[in-house]
Amino acid sequence: MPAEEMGKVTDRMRFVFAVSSLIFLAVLAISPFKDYRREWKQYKRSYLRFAQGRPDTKRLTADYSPDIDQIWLPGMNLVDRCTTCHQGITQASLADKSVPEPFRVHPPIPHNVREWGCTICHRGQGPATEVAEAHESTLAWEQPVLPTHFIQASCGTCHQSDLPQTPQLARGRQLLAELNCQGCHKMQGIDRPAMLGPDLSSIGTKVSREWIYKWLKEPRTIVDKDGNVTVNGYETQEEPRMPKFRLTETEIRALTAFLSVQKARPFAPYKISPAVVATWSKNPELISQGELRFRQMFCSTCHSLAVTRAGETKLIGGDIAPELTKVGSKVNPGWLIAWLRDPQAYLPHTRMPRYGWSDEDLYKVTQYVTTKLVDSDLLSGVPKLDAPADAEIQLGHRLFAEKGCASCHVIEGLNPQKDFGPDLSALGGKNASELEFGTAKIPHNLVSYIQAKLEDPVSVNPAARMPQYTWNQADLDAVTTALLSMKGAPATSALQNLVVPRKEASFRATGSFAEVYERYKCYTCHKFNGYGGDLAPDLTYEGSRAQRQWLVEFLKSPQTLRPTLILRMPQFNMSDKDAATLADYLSMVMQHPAVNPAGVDAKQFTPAMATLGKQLYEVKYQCQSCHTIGGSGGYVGPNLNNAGGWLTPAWIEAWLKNPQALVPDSMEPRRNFTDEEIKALTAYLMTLRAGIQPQKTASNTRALAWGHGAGK
Amino acid sequence: MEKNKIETAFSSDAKKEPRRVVFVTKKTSAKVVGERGPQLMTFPHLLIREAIAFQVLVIAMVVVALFWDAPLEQLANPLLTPNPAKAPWYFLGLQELLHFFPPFVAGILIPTLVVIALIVIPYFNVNIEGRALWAYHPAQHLRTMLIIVLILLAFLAVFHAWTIFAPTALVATLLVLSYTGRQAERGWLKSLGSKPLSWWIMTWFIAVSVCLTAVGTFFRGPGWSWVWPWGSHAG
Amino acid sequence: MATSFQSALQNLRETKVWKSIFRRGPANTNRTRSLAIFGNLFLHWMPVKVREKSLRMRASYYLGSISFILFIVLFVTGIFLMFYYHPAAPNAYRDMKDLQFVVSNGVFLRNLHRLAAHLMVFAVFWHMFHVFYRGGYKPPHEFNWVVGVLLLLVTLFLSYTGYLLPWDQLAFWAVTVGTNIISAMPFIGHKVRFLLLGGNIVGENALLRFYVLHIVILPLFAFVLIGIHFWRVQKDGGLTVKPKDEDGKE
Repeated sequence: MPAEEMGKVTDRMRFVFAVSSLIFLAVLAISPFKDYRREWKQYKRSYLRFAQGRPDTKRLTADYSPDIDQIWLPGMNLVDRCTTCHQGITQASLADKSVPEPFRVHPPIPHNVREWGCTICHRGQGPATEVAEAHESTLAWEQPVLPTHFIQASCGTCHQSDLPQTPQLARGRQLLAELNCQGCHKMQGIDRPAMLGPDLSSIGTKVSREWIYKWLKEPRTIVDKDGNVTVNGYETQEEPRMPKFRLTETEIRALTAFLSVQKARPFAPYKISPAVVATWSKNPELISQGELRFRQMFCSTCHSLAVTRAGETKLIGGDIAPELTKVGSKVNPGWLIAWLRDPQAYLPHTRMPRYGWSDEDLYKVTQYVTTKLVDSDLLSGVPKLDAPADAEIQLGHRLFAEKGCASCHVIEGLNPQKDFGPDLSALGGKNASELEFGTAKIPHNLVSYIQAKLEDPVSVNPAARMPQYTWNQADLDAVTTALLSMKGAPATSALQNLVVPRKEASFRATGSFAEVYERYKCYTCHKFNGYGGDLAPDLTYEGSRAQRQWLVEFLKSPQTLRPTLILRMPQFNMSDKDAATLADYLSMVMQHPAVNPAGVDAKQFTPAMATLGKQLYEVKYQCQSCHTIGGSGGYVGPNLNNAGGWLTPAWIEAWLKNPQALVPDSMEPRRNFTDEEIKALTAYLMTLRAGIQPQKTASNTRALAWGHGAGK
Repeated sequence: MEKNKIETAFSSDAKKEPRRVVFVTKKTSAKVVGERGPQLMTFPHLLIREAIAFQVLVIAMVVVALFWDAPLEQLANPLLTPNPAKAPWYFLGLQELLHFFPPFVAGILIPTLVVIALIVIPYFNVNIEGRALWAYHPAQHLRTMLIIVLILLAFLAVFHAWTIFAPTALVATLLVLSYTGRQAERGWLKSLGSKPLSWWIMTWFIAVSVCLTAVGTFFRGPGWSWVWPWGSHAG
Repeated sequence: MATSFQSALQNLRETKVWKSIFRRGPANTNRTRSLAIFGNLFLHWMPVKVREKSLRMRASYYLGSISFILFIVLFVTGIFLMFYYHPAAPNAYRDMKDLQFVVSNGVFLRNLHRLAAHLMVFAVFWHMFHVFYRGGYKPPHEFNWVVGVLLLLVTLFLSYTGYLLPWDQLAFWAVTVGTNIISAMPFIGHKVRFLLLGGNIVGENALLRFYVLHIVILPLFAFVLIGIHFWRVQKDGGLTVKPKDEDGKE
């Protein structure tokens, strides 16, 4: 090869080199071009064009910058670049539906976007500047934007008490509590009641095996798709507590066998001398007297009965305790009489108070219940069940734990499995990849998963033990919202600081009071320091409000003051001692910190002051427009006929100064009384005694009867 | 060229044909065997080829990089173990081995032996000329090879290491085929028949590595169970 | 235009500055072509002449060159990526997000780096197998083969240490799985793993160690070994040319 040839490159090679160099340079220019066309840059430019077509261009573009806009909140571990594209969220003039997204204004909320960012409520990927990455679930970010339909869940993540603006969340939380979800699941912010389902330790003494069979096969309470709840075929508002479990015939037989032999407490039927019973049973009025007694005892304050009025059957009565329309076909008569005499002997934690009924009353009411409150068809579909075999009992025993019965129902000597259902307290923050979708044909996201699981637990997990619930769409969405709000422990201390905790209600009765308090179950209807029911007045400050003597008399005979209500304080036939114990405790302990009942001496009031007070009451302030004294006056405020025998002068004074300081939601208007006027009015009210000015009209409005002192 | 006479570039036409000047002694020499054949100047021949290679490679990579995105998953979370947790692709062969053998054997012993074997390859001056396996005593060689291969296959079968068994069996089949076709005139059988033992060992090693890596990358799912890459996962 | 371009180039070459840098005229004689090679720091380890056969595709498929080109691409893109990266948890992951969402051409850079890394592992393996089949390990290339094996290991470690840096699930678990194997080493396994990770689990210390290995120590080793490797290619007489190639049958 000639020497010079060694250094010559062929033209072909040169050509290839030239072409590859050109392509090389061209290809390197693609990426910068692609960068210029990025989504967020296009949204920036299109906002500018949009704003220029609006009359208020200047204001809309005052803060415009062509760069990325981000909200950085290091404490919350949050970098939100949403406002890069959502550029009009603080521009009030962009509220109209015609404004194209992503430029529309955010609806007004109490939180400022610069202080809170976006993703803390809406989820999604804050740092992202691409539409799909920001909103959808991707490999690198599995928390898609929360559908606005469930946005209240985000409020609930921090606000652990319900807000008036979040009815859907509140409803969901209420359902979670009422449906006993916490029997099997651990959840945050949902109260676990002391007792979820009835104690079944002695269920074998109460009902027959056939009745248990019927109950397991078809719980009495049924909800249809529209959310109508029926109990024994009657419509009601009561929420079903016992869900429907998926049980086979064998399993039902085994469980009935096991339950029918549960007789932990030796059952001693309450014996009334047969001779006496024989005399009573000759009474032709026996049943109707029993019914009368049933009504006089105001059982319907807590229990309901089906009543047909004008061809329409409805449940009338309270929803604290079970509906009783067909209870005569359910319970054994021997059990019933023992129960009515001393409910706590059978169920120590029952909310049913112990009444001091006479034997004759007990007998009459029992007769009434077992002959009138019956349904001959109740057990029609139930097969004949023989005495339970050992094998069945064994299987039932095992199933009782395995099916989760033991999570809600106590049986002595049988421990429930710990953490029976999965912990749900961080469910709302779970990624789709952490969930088991099984073979379900649903979108792989958290909301779909929760709803599928709630509607049909087996659809996502064939081995699910969770019972079957029936939901209407609104309740399903509400429960989904409540579950979505549970995102577990806050990730950072700054987030922890955002949590608005619930006011923890706690009240522990002590001493001899506790015994009486438990026997009469005062907390079922009344609140004590925030703990207890809300059917009857809050007694937290009762000691400051009411005079001790009045309390004693009222406790012994509540009906003398409240004659014709359905929901009213039952006649407990309380002994003098019990009434005195309760009254002592209430007046000693349940006091308002600012109102000392002994702080105002009634002796200082002169007749002249009372006269002035009467004048102020009737003429200057026209109190009678709401309050009744004697036979005249309004019904909005409480009846003051016996104000002098009922209220303490210290309470009246404090109340007149500022009613809302004592009862925050009281309707009583706050007047600017002078000190003299307050003294005069108090003096006047203290002269009012029921005996002096007897009550002539009895109002049956609930507001009047229950509103004493609260002024509702 | 006369012995012991050193020719330098000074006397040659250095402009036209520059020569490399080296002092070659027996101890330091690189052994230059045979004729060197026609030569070309590095500049520009090699350099222009390298430049083209660079440009073509970068062009290809840029085009791919514009449309394929490097994977990014969620933030590292020690509490959330993916199933299966996979090593980078080039270690998936080892991870597949771990499925069959105890960690010490699969994770330490075998890779160490492989590295040592690779390092010592050039120092065993066995069969430098690359003599074919069947060149001498073909029947005896075949017997030895068959015994080794069968023991190996039996061993793999005992451990249920089918993903190693399969490529091993394939290479063994080719080996036997090459024996039968060693005297063929032409074609792939003849070329196979002329391969030395080292070729067979390396080919076996590559076949097993590729098979293990491919299986580990594409065919292993939750719990290191066998899945088909085209098979739909749940949902 | 071509002529004006050439004359402009010629004028440029006549300038004092140009001459001070290159000290030679245009590479139009074999002498100046030789000077272009050994007068240049970056080319001087190349031979002045190469055999025509060794330039052919099947001699090498340019696999060595490709591996080196990939290394250079990785070096350049890696330096760019370093501007945006903090070796700390979870900042490292946030930096990945910033590369993706904020940095101009950030995704492109990362894609290129990742792609080149995978390709380099692949190319180096292929290079080794190809050299083996061509008998490139035979004397006098024994030592260069060993350097090549070391380079393969360095490449694997470079890729593996880089794998952790995005600090995502993929990275974390791949490295966890890989380093768990080290524990199987008899007696010292756990110690070695502790040394590598700076702890008992893959954590922030491991990230920092992998980062330092990835951007300082291993590239330094790689550069030195690559230098030796190339140097020895020339000193060992160029690429191995098989007798068959010499026969000119190709």
